[in-house]
Amino acid sequence: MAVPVISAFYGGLLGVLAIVLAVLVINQRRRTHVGIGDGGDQRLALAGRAFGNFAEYAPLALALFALLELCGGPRLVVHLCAGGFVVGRIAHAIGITGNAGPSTGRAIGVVLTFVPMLVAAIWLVIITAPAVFR
Amino acid sequence: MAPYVTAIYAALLGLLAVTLSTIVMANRRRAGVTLGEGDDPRLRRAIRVFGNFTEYVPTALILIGLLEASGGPRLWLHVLGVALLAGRIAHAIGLSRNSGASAGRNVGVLLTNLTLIGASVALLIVALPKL
Repeated sequence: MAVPVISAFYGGLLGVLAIVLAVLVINQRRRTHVGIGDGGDQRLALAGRAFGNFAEYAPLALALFALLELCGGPRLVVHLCAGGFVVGRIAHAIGITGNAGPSTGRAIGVVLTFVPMLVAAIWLVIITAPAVFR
Repeated sequence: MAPYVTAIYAALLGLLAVTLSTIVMANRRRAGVTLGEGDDPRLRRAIRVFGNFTEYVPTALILIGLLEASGGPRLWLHVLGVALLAGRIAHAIGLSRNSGASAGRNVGVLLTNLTLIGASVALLIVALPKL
């Protein structure tokens, strides 16, 4: 089977981002001495949600991008989906770390999370349906 | 051979993920809660429907994808994919309606865990002899 190198590249970037977001949570835990939960501390809660939101979307999104690449999706589409998603996750992390309310970063993050996942999912249905139901 | 069977179930589950997440955002707007769960029961349920989905589906899909990449039988792949998809839909419907035990939630938990067990055991059967 071919190696999905484009998804692997963006997967690497997302892996680095996951570690960065986790370290930010750990820093807040050390500052506040809260071992579990957020202890009512706003900055710890925000760091926790920045990481939590990332963890909710990144694995499934990355699986979709890798499958799209493996199933012969156009290189440009894989780049746009995976690259857009990485930008979206960075924007979301910056937005939600700044304040708890709606923010430009968070809004960009939500759009650049949903659109790449939707495009990859719908593209996958279109290119795989003939192979599955033949 | 590309993992087409996994791809189609991943795609359908991806659409379900976006739907469940959109329901969370709609409830956030309605309840005016931008961070955390607040006290709104419908928002809390929507968050847990999406949260439970994200806790199980990536692992299950990776197992099914590895089974397909390892040359697992097509029929198993379809059975696992359909069970996972049906389980997640049942769980979402059950938990959206009320916070307690419900038929949909029970069916969802059962099908999700059977998928994980089935895919794991199948992977061991297919992959161990190739080590």
